[in-house]
Amino acid sequence: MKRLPNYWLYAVVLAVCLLLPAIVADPYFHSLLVTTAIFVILALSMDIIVGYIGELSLGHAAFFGIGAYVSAILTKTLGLSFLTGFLAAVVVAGLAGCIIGFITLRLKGAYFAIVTLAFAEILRLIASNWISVTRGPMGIPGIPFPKLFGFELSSSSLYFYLVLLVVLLSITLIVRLVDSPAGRAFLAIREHSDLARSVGVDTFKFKVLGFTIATLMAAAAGSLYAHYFRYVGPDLLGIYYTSTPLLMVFIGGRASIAGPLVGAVIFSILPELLRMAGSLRLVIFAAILIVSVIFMPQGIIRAAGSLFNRKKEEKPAQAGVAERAY
Amino acid sequence: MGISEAIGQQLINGLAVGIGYALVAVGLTLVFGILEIINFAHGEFFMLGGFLTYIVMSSLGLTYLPALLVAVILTFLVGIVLERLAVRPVMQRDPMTTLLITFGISLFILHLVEYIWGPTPRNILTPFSGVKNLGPLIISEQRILIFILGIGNIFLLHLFIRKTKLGKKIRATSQNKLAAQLVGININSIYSFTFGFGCALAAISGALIGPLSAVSPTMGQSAVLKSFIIVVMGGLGSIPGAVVGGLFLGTVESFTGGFLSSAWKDAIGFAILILVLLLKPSGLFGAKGSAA
Amino acid sequence: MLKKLSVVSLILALVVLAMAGCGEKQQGSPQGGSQSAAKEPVKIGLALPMTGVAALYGEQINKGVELAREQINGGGGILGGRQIQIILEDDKASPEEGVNITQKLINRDKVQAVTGGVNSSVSLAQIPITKAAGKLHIVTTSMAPSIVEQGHPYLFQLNTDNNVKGDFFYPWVAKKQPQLKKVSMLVENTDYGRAEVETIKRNWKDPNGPQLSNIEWFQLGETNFTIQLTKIKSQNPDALIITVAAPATNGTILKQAKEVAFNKTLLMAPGNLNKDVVKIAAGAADGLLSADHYISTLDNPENKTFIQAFEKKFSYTPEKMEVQGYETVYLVAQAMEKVKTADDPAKLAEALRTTTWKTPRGDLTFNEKGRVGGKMYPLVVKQGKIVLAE
Repeated sequence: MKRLPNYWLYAVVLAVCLLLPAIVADPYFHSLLVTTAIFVILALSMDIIVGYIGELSLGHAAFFGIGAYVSAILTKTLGLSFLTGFLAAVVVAGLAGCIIGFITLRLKGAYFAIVTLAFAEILRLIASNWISVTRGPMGIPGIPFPKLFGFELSSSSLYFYLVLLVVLLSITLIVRLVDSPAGRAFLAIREHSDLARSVGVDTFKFKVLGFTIATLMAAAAGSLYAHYFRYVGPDLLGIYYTSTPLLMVFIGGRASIAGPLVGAVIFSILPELLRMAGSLRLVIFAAILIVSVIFMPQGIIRAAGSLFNRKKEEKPAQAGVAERAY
Repeated sequence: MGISEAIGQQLINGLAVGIGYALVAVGLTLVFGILEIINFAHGEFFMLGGFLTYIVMSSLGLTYLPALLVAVILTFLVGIVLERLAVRPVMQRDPMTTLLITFGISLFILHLVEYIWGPTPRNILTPFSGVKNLGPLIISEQRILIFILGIGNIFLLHLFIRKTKLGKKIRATSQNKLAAQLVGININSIYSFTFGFGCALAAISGALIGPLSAVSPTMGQSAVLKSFIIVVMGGLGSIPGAVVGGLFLGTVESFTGGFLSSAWKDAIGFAILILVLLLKPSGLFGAKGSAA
Repeated sequence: MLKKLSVVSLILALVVLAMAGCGEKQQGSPQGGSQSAAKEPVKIGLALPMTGVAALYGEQINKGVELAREQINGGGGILGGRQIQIILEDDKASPEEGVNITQKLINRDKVQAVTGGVNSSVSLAQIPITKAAGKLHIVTTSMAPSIVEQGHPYLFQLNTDNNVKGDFFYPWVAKKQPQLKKVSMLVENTDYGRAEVETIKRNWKDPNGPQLSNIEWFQLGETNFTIQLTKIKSQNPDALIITVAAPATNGTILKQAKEVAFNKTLLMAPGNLNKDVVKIAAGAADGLLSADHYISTLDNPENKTFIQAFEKKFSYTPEKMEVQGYETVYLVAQAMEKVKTADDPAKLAEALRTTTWKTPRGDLTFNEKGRVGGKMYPLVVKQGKIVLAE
């Protein structure tokens, strides 16, 4: 497995991100940056399950939603601080993820996918009907801005920096995870599940670990979402917040850092670019999606990468790639 | 209305709803059993069945049953074409990619229909708009039709798979791809046909169930979630599982909604699913497809 | 490895540039500056659900908007020849999207006013943004009473809310249908539905009058009501109130009520009865009682001219949604004409609040919070047609 990436290139990308809000002073652009960055975190979390562990979770929105609701309830209803809300959101989702992962990861493939979908739906129904806590379909509006060190983050550009920070933390977490024994276990599980088990790799334990980390990350994205849009509703537990990061990961490239990143950026701008097409826009979007999946099975970054690297072709592995393509 | 009447009526309601569920689920489980893919676009083919029936009726002036037939045949063809163009290229790869493609197909069909005909819900006028009385209990004619055609279809499907040559080929392909090819079966054609057939089954249910409420481009989205639950609960690939699962779910929902509350009615299906899978990970009739 | 990273960063860079660049095209006119603005169009932002389940309403409202725009511009525009330009964005019935497009309309397109809104949750998400930007905000159709309670000084809610409608209809039912005592309710689990329950309870306090005996909630997206209707039937009420916003669902419930042979009086929460409901109910709507602040047969000069022009342009008879779209643009334009400027939201708000406007629905006024008041009309369905009830 390749060693760590060239740090300076990442530093350049980071510097560009830091300067962006200053270069383009448009608040609309800033809000797009925030939305994109939140989806980057969500996509990265989805990648852990879909790319590294190699399972398909159709209930990811559940953890995004838990993060959003816990944050909202603790800060709006109970008046606690943003940090408390954020940490609680992450912890609660992690616990839920651990339990749900423990129950469901025994099932394989299609069964796992549909059971996770069922969990998300149950949570959505709970959110819609537990009026006393979640206000049901009315949702929770007026969630306060985050207050860090007494300073209120009410501008989009400042908020973007907060989200960027969490993005960096998430990337660090994933890099650490992949380079750890767990990460090597994931590789083994994806490539040769039975062989791995036969040499004593506790595949189940590592799967649950990875799943839990993914749910923590999704909740972080949910919490940031709640404090930016300042409204949460049962729709946050709907299929859209599962299918969107799924698409971002697939089109961008599974089992990589750059894949979800590129995927998130593309899926945030594409709808903007297509605005001019009117109602045909969504038809075009779906067509682009289908074509991308057929012709770029490993995602954009590898398709682009292989343009430069004729000789070094990855063999399309069973559930992903043999090495992290960055 | 006394309590025993209420129970009887809710039982009929439940079975009526259940046969509808079963019909949608059978197509989905068939496709999984033979092609081993979960067709996320199944709901959109359900919608096409209903929606095209309306379009055919209003623009060609056909009556309900002939329009239904035309709509189902059209959907069958659409299914075959999409399978050839979009599904087959990715089938050799991992199952996640295939699922994603069917998801893309579902978005495509939904928004195309929305774009061409607009979002307005339409009403299908069927000749079966009356009600029949079974003593104190009531059932609408359309639902009786669904019962008859639903059970009839499932029975015919069973005969088809068991008795006809094509049916045998399909079974052979699902049991052992390589062996089937060795005896000269063109498995690509089998796949296309089966996929189209699954879509046609979805279309029949859409055309039958559509008149109960209204047809609109988005009608497939809520229908399909329940069929996923049923198919997994009954065991992926098992047609008896889909039928039993569908009837069971319909009846449970009916009693839960009728005697407890509506909120529970919607959640009960998912709760049962999770219970079943905890106890029997391959589903009630768990046959094909991977279990734990 | 280096090559891959450069590819990645190249893609990222291109994409970010595209993002930044794609919005620069509409620089917008200099703010204020009436000297050079004689021919500058007045931009009005319009946020509607054009895709998704509420898309039908979006389309209907937009038609009304179109008619108004055409008429005003055809008549020479406003403020000395300035044309009205409508910038329509699809809010997809999602609060998130609502926030994004509102930001775009205000910061990129530089609109003078933000209008539209069908789903209350979307409008509620938009309001903090228009409030912070100090923009005039006309909420066209969203009905939640909390919309005018957000402390926004330039906000107006054009659709009569649950209270205005309910405070007329439910006492009217109590008076005209004194035989009704026990009433069941089938209601959607949304903020609209919940607000309606409160309105009914508030109006039916008299123990000798009608009382809500059972409330059956259902989730949006439900299409099979036979189970609930059977349950309601077994409760043996004197009447059933159907509280749903979507026409397809209303029609379905009516159809299925007939299917289970529910023969009692049918009431529809005011504001939801329209021809699509009747059409989908396929004959099951006859005898249904409801109310609304508009019906196309209203006898006032504005309505007559409006109906004539609309039927000529679109070949069908408009209903409330189309009217509200029309009124939205009409009111903004009229207010701007009255205060002789497009750029002063405070003055515009003042004018809107203090004037009695003559629109197709009759006399229209706003209270100090921006809530619309108005006359309500009882309705009944007779042989597939919606007419005024006595």
